[in-house]
Amino acid sequence: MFLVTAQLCILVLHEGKTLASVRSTMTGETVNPKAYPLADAQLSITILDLVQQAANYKQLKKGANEATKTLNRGISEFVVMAADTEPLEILLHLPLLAEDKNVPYVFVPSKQALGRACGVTRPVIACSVTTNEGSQLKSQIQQLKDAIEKLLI
Amino acid sequence: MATLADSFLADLDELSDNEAEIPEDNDVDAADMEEDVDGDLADLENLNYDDLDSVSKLQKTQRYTDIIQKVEEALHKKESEVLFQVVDIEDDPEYQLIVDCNALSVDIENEIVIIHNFIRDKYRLKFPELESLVHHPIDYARVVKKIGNEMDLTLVDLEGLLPSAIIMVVSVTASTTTGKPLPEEVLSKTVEACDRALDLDSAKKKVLDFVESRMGYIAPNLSAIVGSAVAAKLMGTAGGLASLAKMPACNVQLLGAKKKNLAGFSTATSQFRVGYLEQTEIFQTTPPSLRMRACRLLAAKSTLAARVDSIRGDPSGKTGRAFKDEIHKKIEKWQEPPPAKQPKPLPVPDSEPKKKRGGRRLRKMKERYAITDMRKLANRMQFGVPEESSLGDGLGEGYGMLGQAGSGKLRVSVGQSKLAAKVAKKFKEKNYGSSGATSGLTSSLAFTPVQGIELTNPQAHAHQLGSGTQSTYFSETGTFSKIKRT
Repeated sequence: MFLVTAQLCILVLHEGKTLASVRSTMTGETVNPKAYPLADAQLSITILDLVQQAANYKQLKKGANEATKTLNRGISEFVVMAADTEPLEILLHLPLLAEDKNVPYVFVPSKQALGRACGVTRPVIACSVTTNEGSQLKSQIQQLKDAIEKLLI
Repeated sequence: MATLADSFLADLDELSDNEAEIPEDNDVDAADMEEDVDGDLADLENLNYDDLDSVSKLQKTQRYTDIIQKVEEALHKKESEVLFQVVDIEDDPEYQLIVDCNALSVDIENEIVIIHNFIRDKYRLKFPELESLVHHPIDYARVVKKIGNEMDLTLVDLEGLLPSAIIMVVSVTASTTTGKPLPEEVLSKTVEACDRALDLDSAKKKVLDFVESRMGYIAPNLSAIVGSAVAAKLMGTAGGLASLAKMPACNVQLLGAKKKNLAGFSTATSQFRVGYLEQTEIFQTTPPSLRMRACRLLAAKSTLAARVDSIRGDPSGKTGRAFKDEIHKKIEKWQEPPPAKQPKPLPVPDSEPKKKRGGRRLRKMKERYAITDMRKLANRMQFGVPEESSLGDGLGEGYGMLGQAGSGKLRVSVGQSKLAAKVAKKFKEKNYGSSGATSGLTSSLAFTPVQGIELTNPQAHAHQLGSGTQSTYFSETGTFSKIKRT
């Protein structure tokens, strides 16, 4: 319990730094408007936490190519993408595929944070949480899908 | 001859779907047997002509005519006019034309294969071995058209159509072939089929040229990495730029890969074949040992460039050129030799202090395991004095100074040591040796743990006793010494 709390504190600290840079970027108006829907600070923490748990439960596919495969096979619950990808167009085919397959998708501000949440030392620009019947994460995944779909309204 | 005719008729039956022509097959059979009836040649002519049209239908379709006409119109259009029309890439009619051209090139390829089978069946009577010497359909059609009905191939100039080695093989094979000249009607239909195949090939080249010329503005980033020709082929195989963008990179790597039939040969020595990506300039300039890695890198970056192109992210192609520079940099990095090995210095000596200082226990251990006095004397040599040996005259084991103390015995009297005293005390308690009372059954032979086997020498004892009794100090007859005063 203490380790999870410490991990969340570290995550919050990193997120704080990232959000500061995002705010400075937003004041400069250079954030990419194509990264829609973009999660706010609270939802980003929830998404990254669930992504990390999915990585522990082996319900996560990391990378744009593997995310594309999960969408083509129809085993994807939702897709998380990084908004600070350069160039962002290299993953904008995923929203098209996700809308064809009726899968929720969301952008998080930092690819570094997404990589750490996936348990990878490199930045991760896209990942996909896969379907698993009888998983302990099913209720949390459903809640997060509802929250993501609220962003689109 | 009869077997060839039967297989020929069987092929005709397979090609023809019209059941009403069955009596004509019998007529053809009769014509082949007799070869003199002129009334049946008209039916044969109709049959072959119908077969060619029934087999080769693509050039008659409206779709083919429309696309070729549009391509010819578009090739003459200026580039500036094309650029003005760019509003939305998917809704542009020229983009749709390019997608149709990609599909049409696949259909043209299939049509050429069908016509090649037709030509091969016709020309097999004239030159059966040619199809195993010339494999490419277009080359085969050109050679058939060039040779025609000529029996002496030295009069036919095949230069420019085939490599020189194959020309020589074809000429030698033609001089020993079992084929016969074709009838004029069959020859004319064969030549017509060759002309049709060559027309289809030129139309296909025209379509591909059109698609390549438009690659620069439809997929600028992809063309920057792999070139216009390979970009056109990738788009054609994938079914469009949007479909190519939605592919994973590992699928893009295999686009255009041919399932090679090795006909029983081993795959250990076969050249590594990939798809269209092996035709790129980057792949061909890479050393062969790194081509597998270069192919994977090319597939990954090409997929990213296609995704940028599919949503018109960068029409100038700057992203593609950046990817290309990154690819070149990585390939050059792979070819660098590893850094030179530095001479390794000696490790730091162990400067840990000794644990043992030499106390009472250590001294006891040293005394227990020390070299004996006998071994010390055996290891020493006295100057000028020859040593004794176990076999005499220096052979065997040398004794050193062992027997040269003057006593003549090899045994050394041990010095007094505390350890020996302790051992002697321990042995004294066990009471070795004989008791004082001697009987007739016991001998004077005594086993002692100190000296081993030793015989009692009475003279030695007598000698000792004598010397003892005659001593000045303790003799019984001796008196006190008188010292006279001076």
